[in-house]
Amino acid sequence: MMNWSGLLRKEFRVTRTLLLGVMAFDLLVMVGFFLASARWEFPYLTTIIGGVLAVMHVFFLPLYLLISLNSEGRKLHLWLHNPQSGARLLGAKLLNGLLALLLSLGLIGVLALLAYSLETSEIVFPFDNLGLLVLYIFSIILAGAISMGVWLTFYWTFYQVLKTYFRRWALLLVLMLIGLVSWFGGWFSGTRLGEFVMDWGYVQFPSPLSMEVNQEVFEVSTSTVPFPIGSVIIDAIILVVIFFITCWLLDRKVEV
Amino acid sequence: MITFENVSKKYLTKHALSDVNVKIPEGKIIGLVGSNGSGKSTLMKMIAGLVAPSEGSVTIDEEAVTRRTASKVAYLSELDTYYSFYSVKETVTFFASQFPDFDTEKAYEILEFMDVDKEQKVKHLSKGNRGRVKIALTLARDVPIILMDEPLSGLDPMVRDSIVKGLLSFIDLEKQTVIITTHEVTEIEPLLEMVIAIRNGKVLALEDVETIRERDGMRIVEWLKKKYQEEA
Repeated sequence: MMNWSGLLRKEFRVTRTLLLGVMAFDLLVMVGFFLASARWEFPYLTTIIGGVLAVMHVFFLPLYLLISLNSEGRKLHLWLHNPQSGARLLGAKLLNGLLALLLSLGLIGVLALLAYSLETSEIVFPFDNLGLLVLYIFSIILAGAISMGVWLTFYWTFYQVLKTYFRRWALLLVLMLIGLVSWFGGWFSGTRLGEFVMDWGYVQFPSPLSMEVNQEVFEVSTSTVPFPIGSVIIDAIILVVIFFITCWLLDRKVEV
Repeated sequence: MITFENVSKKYLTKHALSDVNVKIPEGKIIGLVGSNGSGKSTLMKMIAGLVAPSEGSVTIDEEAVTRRTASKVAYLSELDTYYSFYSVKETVTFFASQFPDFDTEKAYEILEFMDVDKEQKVKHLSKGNRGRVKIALTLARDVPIILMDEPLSGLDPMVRDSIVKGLLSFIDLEKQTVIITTHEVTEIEPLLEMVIAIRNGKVLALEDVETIRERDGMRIVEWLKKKYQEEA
């Protein structure tokens, strides 16, 4: 347990400046737009900007991981001369990145809510269930960030493997692999087999964006959005497999 | 025992090691000597599990070496790298958290012996003092194998002498094997019990230092030159 917490503390220190920088940026942007919205008489501007900043957080984890991994890449023997498994070394980075993502997102959420309550109580949103919308957006940001983070970690590790043998050509080879994987993913999902594997298990989730009111019988019914559970399960399985391949590469193939 | 069996390491067309067959015995201080680019660091990294052989096998006590062999091996790299945000004390704490065999008290004892300020940030230390921190972190581990790649690099001659003398008191030769590479062969010669000569990725010989002195009447550098001439 001590080695895991030691790793986590180290990871926090590796990227502490970055996290503080991002949170300072969040604060400056939100406060700046809050002051500007009063001046421009544009009351819901801060909340909108908060939403945009929150959505941009989908890139937070991959960027965070890239900076953290590159920092270790400059002293690989120090990072890899460690009896912990690759899963722990990489898991500590992923978890630390996720906690940082949540901290930054939380700050934006609090600031957006604060600005919303200070600015006006008369805003009419084009949707009825704000909580549900926030939950959906949060889930999409988190899923997108984890997906990009895991793939980035895989490509970075693969680059480290190739770098030993191909030096400057390694980056080009990794870029080619990224292109190949993207093309294959697009092509496969369009095939019959791809549709069979990916396109199943649709369930209806309540939609926060519109509400149908039947005026004749005074019934209120919420419309729904179809959600492909099958596709999410397959994506999750692929991510787990990619993560363990990455750990294997780190344990067995990356050299210093 | 560390065993190299038909080990080769190839980087595309370049051979870093060629058909190395050597058995390194336990409980000795062994010097790994050779010219620049001869394969000394590659050999060390293979024992540490940080480089994998292209062919053959490296084993420690008949167990194949992997990166996680770090639990049995303490490795001091030739590179001057460290976590710049840590102080010396925090670095010791971090190592203690990662290696269950790490002896924090011993680390502080060695740092005190080497006159290193524990409160200083590692990045603010001189290169020589950073070298001493690396030595303390390596010797504070209670592991069967200690690998030191150029441990005296960057240290001034006066300090090197005191560190060489101090090394002996921090190693338990009953249960530890120490392998050292250095260009300062003469300075560590009094410490060494065995020596491995390496050239162009080939291990030329593994010999007792006592035998070299008594049988050949030579010092290690002279013996190494002779081995190089025989190979040429």
